Amino acid sequence: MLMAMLAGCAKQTPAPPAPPAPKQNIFALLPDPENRNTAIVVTNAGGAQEIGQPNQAVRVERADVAPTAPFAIDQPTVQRLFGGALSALPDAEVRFVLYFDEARDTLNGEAQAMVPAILKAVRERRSTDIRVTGHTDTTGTPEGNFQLGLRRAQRVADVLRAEGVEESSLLVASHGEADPLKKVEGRVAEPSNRRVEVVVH
Amino acid sequence: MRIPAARVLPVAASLAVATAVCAIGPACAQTTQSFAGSVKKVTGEVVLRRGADRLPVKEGMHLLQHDVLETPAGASVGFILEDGTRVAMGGNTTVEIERFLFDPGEGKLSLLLKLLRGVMVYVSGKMAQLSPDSVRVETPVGVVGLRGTELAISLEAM
Repeated sequence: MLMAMLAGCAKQTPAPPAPPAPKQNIFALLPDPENRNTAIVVTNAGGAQEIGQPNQAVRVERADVAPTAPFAIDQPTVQRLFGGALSALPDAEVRFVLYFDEARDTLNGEAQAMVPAILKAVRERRSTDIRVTGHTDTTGTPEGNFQLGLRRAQRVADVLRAEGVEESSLLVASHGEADPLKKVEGRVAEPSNRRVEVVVH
Repeated sequence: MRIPAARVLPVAASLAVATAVCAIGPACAQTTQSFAGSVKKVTGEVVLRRGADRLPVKEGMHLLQHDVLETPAGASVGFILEDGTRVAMGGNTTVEIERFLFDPGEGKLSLLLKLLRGVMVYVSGKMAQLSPDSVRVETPVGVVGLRGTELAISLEAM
């Protein structure tokens, strides 16, 4: 439909000046890189339009004119309209999980073994934004677990700093017991919750 | 329910410990620096408007809420936010990080990007997954609500 609009303008008779083409404000839904279910809704004073299928777009002429119905958008058009921006799209963040022994905040052998991969990701990405978040299971008290999570995160941050990661790149936090990977009943040990998550942007 | 004796602390004492640790500066997780994200790819002379300042944009720069990024013709820039949201801007484009709040531990989630002119590609991050209603992109001709998407917007030059 987009192509048809452009062709239509070209066929205007030369004598009267062609009316100005409608503003080509295009909102396109592209295939999600992680194949998640995708949908967008474009809303303005004139109305709303949902796009529920990737590789479809709507055109919005003005703030007070409703978006058009969705139309298919092909790859050449995607490149023509969005190629400049697409070339600057950053890579996705990378997440690492280091596990800890019960009540401990020191890195065990397995956690240590993950450090080179983290450093590699930081260097490859020239990352200046590394989020280190400590977690615990529900043994102990909530207050104690906030501190334990924090100590775990600080230990990991210390190791990264010792290997040259800049202090200003590290965002260290604790979620204590409040953010388990695996929800369990009661205040019991759960190894998969005793962890530090490192997200490298 | 058995609680190991070693871990039973009087609540008052453990709160006092928490406060003391926080007062020591860098050791406290909740008051160290926080930023919305960082710049990843820059081509051309991209400008950051922060308050009254205009700063040249360089790879690795941290971004804050209210920052406005501007590209001239032919330039482009990509940035990634704390929740993993990725944004790329083409030439002659202006984007404002109107609102950025990512604290899933406290349930505080909010992302509002404003595309004032030009071309933008957006790939959603955790916030759109955890709370789709907390994410919005505004443009002069319409507002976009999102659900785990890769979205591209091209605004015709005025």
